[in-house]
Amino acid sequence: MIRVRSVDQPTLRDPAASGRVFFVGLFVLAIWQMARLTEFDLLTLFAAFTDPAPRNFLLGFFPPAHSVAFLTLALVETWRTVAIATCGMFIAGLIGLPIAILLTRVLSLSAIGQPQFGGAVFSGFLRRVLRSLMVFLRSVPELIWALLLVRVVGLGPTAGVLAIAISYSGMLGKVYAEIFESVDPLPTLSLLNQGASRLQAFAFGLLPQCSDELISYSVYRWECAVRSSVILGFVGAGGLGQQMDLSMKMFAGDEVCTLLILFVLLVSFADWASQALRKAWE
Amino acid sequence: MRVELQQVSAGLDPAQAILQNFSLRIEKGEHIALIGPSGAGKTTLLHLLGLALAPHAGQVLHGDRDYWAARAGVRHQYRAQVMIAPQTPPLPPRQRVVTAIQAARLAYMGFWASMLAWLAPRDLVEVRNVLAEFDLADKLFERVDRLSGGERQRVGLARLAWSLADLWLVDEPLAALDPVRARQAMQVMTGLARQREVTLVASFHQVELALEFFPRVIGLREGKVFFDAAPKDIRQEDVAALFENEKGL
Repeated sequence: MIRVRSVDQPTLRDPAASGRVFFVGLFVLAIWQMARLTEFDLLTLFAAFTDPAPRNFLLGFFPPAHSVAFLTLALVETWRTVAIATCGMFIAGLIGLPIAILLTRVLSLSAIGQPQFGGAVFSGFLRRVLRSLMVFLRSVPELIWALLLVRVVGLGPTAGVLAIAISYSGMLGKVYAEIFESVDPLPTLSLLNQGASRLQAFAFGLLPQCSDELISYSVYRWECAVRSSVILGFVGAGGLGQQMDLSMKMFAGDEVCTLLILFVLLVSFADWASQALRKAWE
Repeated sequence: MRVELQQVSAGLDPAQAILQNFSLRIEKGEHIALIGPSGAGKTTLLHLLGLALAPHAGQVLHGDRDYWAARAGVRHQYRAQVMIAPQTPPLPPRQRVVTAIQAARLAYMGFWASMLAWLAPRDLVEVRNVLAEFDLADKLFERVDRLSGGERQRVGLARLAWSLADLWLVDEPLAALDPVRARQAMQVMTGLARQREVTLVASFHQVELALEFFPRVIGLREGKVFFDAAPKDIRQEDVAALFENEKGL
């Protein structure tokens, strides 16, 4: 048995307590201030059921719209969403891949044999310009690109395709370049030393080392593109989102419900397809 | 083609160039073995001869031409004549042997021809025959990462044999091979080089094999030529002195 000698202090104080109390207080204060700022009030949600318009909208969710005409329309729009994502990704790849190849230092011919220079001044400058172009392309979210493009090319899927193509090309270019830089440079350098061209060295030395990562990342991005093209529809860029926007504006709860179900199915399909594709490749 | 180094300084770090004021002359079709302790500058010398490393000072002449003074495009075109086989074979792990071998002739293919070869390899029989020289005929469609270290090194040599270069620069080609395989690989490599009248410069740690198969052997030590002679003129003491630890440890 351990015997604790009593100390000549009537009360003991935990030295960490005041700090904890302070930070908990600070946290509560911050949440309260933010809730005020965002006008968050749970009571409005309950009030919705006493107001006839929101109540009818919510009650209208059941049963979901299931007329053949509407289901056909909704399925076509769902497939259009997949098409927007796929075409956008394809164009993004067409832009991103060449830029990634240009950005890859291993593939630089001027750098061979001159480690002290690290490549010529001009190609270093070109790389910096391309890199900032990529940053610009991906720092503007695809939603903003879609808003802009709807005003340029008009309402419809074209704006969605272009919005995804632009913002994803920046992302793909950056990540592809990072993947290329991460592999063993020796095979690529060795081919360049034998007089192979840059693209040949890329295809025979670099690509075989990272094709798995490349495909896996691209499929994952395609999955993201499917999700994001639904949202793009809300600003008029076609597909499921645009249909959902129309139904909401008409307070057609049953249609919104059907579209939401389709949306969930679509996202889980994309999720499943991307996992299956990646597994099949490994 | 004759290769000549004139008072060359070279190395990754200009402040501590491993080769300093280094001169060497190699005639067309000559076979030269480089031996010497690790860090003596063997790999640097091979890279210098193969235009894979630019000298800080001095001249590297192929024929009578200094390709480092030429435009980058001209220099790169000339690289098709040169094949450097590094010590660790530079083969992408997930590539198949047949594709890895064919990559040796990329400089002689147009872009579209090489893309076609990438999808569907050509000259399968010839490539298999080259592999057969190194006892690897059955590995034609194997993936590189499924091969053992020794097999990979022999694929590297088969790749050298498949190239159309007339200057072969080979870095430690026998490092991962057992004694029997090493002798066999040495026979095939020097035999092919003689048959095709290729200039061959190779570095070795196996001194006996180098002395047996090469008419000219250069001993390198601390970036300097320690001896440069025919094997019959190299005594045991010379070799011992070449590898002797200078600190006497």
